[in-house]
Amino acid sequence: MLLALLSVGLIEAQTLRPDVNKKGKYGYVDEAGKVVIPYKYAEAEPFENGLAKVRQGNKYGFIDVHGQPVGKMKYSLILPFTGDYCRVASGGSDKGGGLTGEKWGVLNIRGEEVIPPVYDEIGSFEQGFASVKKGKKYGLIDEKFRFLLEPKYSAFGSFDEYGLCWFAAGGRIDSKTGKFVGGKYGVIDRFGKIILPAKYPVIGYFYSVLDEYKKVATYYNSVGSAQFNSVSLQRPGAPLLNRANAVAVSPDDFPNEEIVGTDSCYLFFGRSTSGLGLVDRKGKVLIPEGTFSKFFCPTDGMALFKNNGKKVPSDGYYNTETGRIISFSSEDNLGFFHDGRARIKDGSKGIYYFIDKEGKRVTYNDYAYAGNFDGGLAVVKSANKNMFAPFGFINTKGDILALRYTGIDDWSFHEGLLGVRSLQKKWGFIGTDGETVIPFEYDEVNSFRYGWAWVKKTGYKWGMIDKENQMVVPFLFEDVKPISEPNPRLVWVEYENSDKTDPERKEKVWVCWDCAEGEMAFPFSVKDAMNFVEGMAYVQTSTNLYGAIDTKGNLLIPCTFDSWDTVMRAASYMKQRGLKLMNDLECFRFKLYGDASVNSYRITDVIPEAKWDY
Amino acid sequence: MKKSFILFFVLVLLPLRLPAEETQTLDYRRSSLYSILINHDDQKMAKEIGEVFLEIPIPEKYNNHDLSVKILSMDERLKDLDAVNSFIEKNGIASRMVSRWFDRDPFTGVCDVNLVRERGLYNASEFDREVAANSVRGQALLEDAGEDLISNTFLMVNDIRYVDKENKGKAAGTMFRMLGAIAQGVVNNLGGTTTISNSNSIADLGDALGSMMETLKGFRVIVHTYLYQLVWDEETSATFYREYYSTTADSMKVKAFKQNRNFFRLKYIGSQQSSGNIVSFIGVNLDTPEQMVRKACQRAIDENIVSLQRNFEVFKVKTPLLGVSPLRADIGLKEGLTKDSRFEVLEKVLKEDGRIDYRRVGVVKPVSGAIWDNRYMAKEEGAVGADLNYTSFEKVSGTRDFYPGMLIREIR
Repeated sequence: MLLALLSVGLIEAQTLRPDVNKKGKYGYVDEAGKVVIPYKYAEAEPFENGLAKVRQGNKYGFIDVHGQPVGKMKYSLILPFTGDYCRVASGGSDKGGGLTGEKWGVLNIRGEEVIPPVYDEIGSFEQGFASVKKGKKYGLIDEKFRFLLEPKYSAFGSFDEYGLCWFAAGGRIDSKTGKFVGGKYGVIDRFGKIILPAKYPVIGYFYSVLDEYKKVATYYNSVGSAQFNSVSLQRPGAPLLNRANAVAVSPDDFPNEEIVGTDSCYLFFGRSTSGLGLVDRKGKVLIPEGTFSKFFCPTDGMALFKNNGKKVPSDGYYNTETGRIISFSSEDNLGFFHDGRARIKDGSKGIYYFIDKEGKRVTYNDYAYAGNFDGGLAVVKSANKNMFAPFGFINTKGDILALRYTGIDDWSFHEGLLGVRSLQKKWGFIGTDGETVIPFEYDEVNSFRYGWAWVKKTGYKWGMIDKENQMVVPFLFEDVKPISEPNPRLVWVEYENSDKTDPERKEKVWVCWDCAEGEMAFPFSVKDAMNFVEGMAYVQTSTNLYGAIDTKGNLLIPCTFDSWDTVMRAASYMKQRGLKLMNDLECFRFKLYGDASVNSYRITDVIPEAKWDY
Repeated sequence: MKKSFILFFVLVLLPLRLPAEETQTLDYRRSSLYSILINHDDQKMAKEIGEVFLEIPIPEKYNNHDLSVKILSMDERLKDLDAVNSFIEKNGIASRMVSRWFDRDPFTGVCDVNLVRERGLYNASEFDREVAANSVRGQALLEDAGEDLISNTFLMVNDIRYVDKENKGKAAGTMFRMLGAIAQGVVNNLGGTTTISNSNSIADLGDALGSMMETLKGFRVIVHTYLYQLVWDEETSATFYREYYSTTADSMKVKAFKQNRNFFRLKYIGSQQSSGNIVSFIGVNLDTPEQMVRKACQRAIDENIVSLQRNFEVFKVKTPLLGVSPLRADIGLKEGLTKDSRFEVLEKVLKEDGRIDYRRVGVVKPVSGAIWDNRYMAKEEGAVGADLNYTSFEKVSGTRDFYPGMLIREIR
């Protein structure tokens, strides 16, 4: 019986519709027009989820399909449902300019108050969280309407990609600059765990500069990193982690966001930038405030620190697991821990060696230089000036695995291989076991990248080989452009072209080599080119104009642009407009749109035809 | 038996779960708009106003019919329309707006009807076939396009003046110069492409903006908007197709078109002046000061567009109903909605000859308290209704159901 009634109810909810009588009162009728709910409301909306919003007098509420009130008819405003909830306002007054003085709460789809209307504002949900304001203070609720933070705080950020959000007590918005200043910051995670309480004027993530292999090339210490974080902390609503901050603050170090590195495992905090402390993601204090003047993000659990002035020790490492300090003098040059080892340059002797996390020296020989450990190996050069072949590599125990080469291509293995020069002055590649992988038959080599390396074969010129030492691009060229994806079909190679009018005069040009066909992809050359990406490559002509071609050598963008940058922007424009290629007219128009002089004319001028796109 | 009968009855009558109503962006025919700024370089903020004007997009309810030239300068007050009319005539603006409709190549004279087809929402292959064959139906399609599309092309000339107030808060100017030193370059948006302007970076702007900060509390603009409509009557369209339209390069037609630009005309419709209300800077990030200028300018222009739509029938826009439970459309305070606004509901009717007509099927009004505040930066301001994303409507009259895709248009 109950099931029958429910089913009838379900049917009615979907067939009932609001209707108005001659007196302007609303009720609900069924499909046949029969009145089901009497005309007694000043406003009535269609049913949704078995509830309909109605107004009696100046109060809104919900009714069910039987016309029975669900909850109280007491709200000044009910906003539309967003998912399973809606925001409601109670009290306040509308003097024509909108409701003022109202209080906000939340109802679920059963019309129940999950948050009573006592708050001055309830924000809309973003990323699963919403702010709640009471007086001048903000709190944070999740989608289950649980308070993660009670409304006691002055400002919030938003959750970043590491799942953390900053919040602040005290502080204010500076009316002149619009920035939030003077706050004491804390950090909360998505589960409501407070990583840092709102007590610290300085908090943040560590930043670094990445190299082309996405490995850290330069680390910023706690003091340096603080500047990037402060940009977000001045903007309520901004995520703490924001790579754009680094680009804005240090454009020389960070020309683009792709080389901005950050670490999600640690946060620094403190009352000022001198003497910051360190916590992990769980909020455990690893370095108390005031311990060091500045320190770097821990690697392998070891934080490299520096102290200013007379504070001792001046330099060293702090083991975040044991609390132990390894001290060094300020003359020593300390590297970061990798694979449990750190490279040290002895300031007085000028030699390199490695230590473990206890500070114990693990290498017994002195090195003139060494790369960092990576994959358990470090490339080194012996400090023994009498050695004819001082290059090789060691393991983390300090064992010399090979020290018999007269040259190395780089200070680390790439894709498991290292280019080395033999006693016979020939280059080849060795693997991490020291065994020869590519025989010593080359005059020059470059590191493997995406499975290929470009090499210069004895008696020949430059070409490319794979890891089996198979030729993939013949050794015929003056140079080869590094590839940017595995197994490309097309590769740019540099070719020396004789001038037909003056055979003595040679010109270097780039041509496109088809690796699959083993021949030129198309018969023309360019002054310079970029690798193909999604079927398009940018090229530079001998007259220093720039355009783009497809993999058959057909023009996609005519070579009429004056820089790489402008032709790339033309390509974006082309893509935006859904064009497969740009003709001369489209190029003309595109350039016009970037020409500021187009908008420099007076109303009395006859504007030249060249400034009109149509 | 009875129990099982009831159960059967219930099972039979249990309604199928209706599919969730899709809220989608529905395509509909829009009027086309070209917007120009008259900038007064004898006044403060001229540079800032010029730069933000280039960022203000054509309202979404109109097709973008902009040409390359968007800003004109003058160093005195615009007293009357003579200067504007003279500019329009001397530069053949109407002919260029027609050229844009047919993507006319200024060098070869080659035209096409792709834009007409796209904006007219015609069946692509049928349109191409019939027009190419020069059939009766093709002619009818082009006539329909002419009446409903090309003739609904407008030029909006915005004369923006900054209203100066007494200097206040001079100390703030210094702070602003410091901000200017760390900010980035100014960005222009043209034709959907973001380009870096050749003009000064904000670092240089810092000094000019410093003076703006000094007058922050009194900042407002007055915008006087003049509206023109492209004339596309039978004579104009016939002449164009006969004398100037070409699908192949034709130097004679190129020359003829250049010499006869003034055959094409714009008709003056009317004008509107904004209220000049001071715009609050709540929500504006003062690290990007051009936001203040943009907020003031954009609100004023939007206000004028609403007034022009109300006062001039030809400029009114139709907006599609996005859903019916509740009835909703993505218009709001920006379009001047109030609880007293009334909208007619139009059903699109495709006639046999391919023309499109609109028939009124009802009237709706906004639900009080459910009007979306979609004005520029309303969200940042924390305005009530800013996150509604649509305005809800309720039926006032109409004997049949409405469905998504029907259009609504404001009535008095």
